[in-house]
Amino acid sequence: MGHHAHSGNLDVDRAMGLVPMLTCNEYRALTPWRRLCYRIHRHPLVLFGLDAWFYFLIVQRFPQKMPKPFTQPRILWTNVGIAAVYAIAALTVGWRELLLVQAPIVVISAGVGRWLFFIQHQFANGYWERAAEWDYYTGALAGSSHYDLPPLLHWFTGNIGFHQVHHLNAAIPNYRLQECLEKTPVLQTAPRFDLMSSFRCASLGLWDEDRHELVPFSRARA
Amino acid sequence: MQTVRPADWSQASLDAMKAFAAPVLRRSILQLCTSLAGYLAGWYAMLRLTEVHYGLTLLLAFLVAGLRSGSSSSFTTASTGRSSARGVPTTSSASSSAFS
Repeated sequence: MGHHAHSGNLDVDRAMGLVPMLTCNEYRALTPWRRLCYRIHRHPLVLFGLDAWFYFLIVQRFPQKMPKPFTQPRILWTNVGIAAVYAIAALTVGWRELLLVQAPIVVISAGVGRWLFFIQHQFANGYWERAAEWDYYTGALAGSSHYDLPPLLHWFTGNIGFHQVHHLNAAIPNYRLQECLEKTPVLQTAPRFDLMSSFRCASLGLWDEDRHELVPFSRARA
Repeated sequence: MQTVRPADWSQASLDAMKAFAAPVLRRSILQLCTSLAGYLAGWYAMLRLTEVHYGLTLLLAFLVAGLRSGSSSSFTTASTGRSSARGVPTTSSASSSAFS
């Protein structure tokens, strides 16, 4: 619940984020084994593959950190609904066919979903600060990217690439995000990526608190 | 890159953004219909392609998975509207269900 309210706050948001991120100093303080684990976790095949599937298929179906009285019954009923849809689909087309069709959709969409979460907040010149220095508006505007995708991909992704707009006012419907961006000049100052330049961020793994940038692992030794 | 710091941020900008928070029913329904219809049509096409060649099914999966990701975003930003002006997010159940 608190990701938008604490976006970019190193002391709060990282515990809520989907993508694990350490600072250079935190990484240096780890044992070699824990460093290896972190590096494996940050590897694109794990981050956008295995871990994404585990997160969306298991963790989000049985979340432990959500406020129980409010959200747990809703998630339970969502799970019942998902099971019912799968059961009806299986009885209609067969379990084998359901698996052959649905499994690749789930695998790919989980990876794409994780990538979107990643690129929205983890990029070289992003914004991460300790609680004492952190500011909500800077976190939303400088810490959220404007993912400048081709129009068709914007449609496919529900315009979530206009992420800075979504962060500053999450009540704006997805089909009005672009309109809001175009008519509010201050929103156009957010860090901007196109598809090709965004892929360079995949190799970045640590936040350098001194330089205020996300850096590759090779910089941790500096 | 130049980013706006808090001192540059104006209440007027925030207030101006509120005008865009009003949903447009016709567009909301259109978004949900195109996502759902596209997803179901893609799903059926994938099912039929399993009879031809599974490679074609996998190829189409990229397109249909995109619709699935998009519908997740649509649900979180189009149909819920449970957020405050400070951007407290929607619950994860809507977004996560689209991936499960």
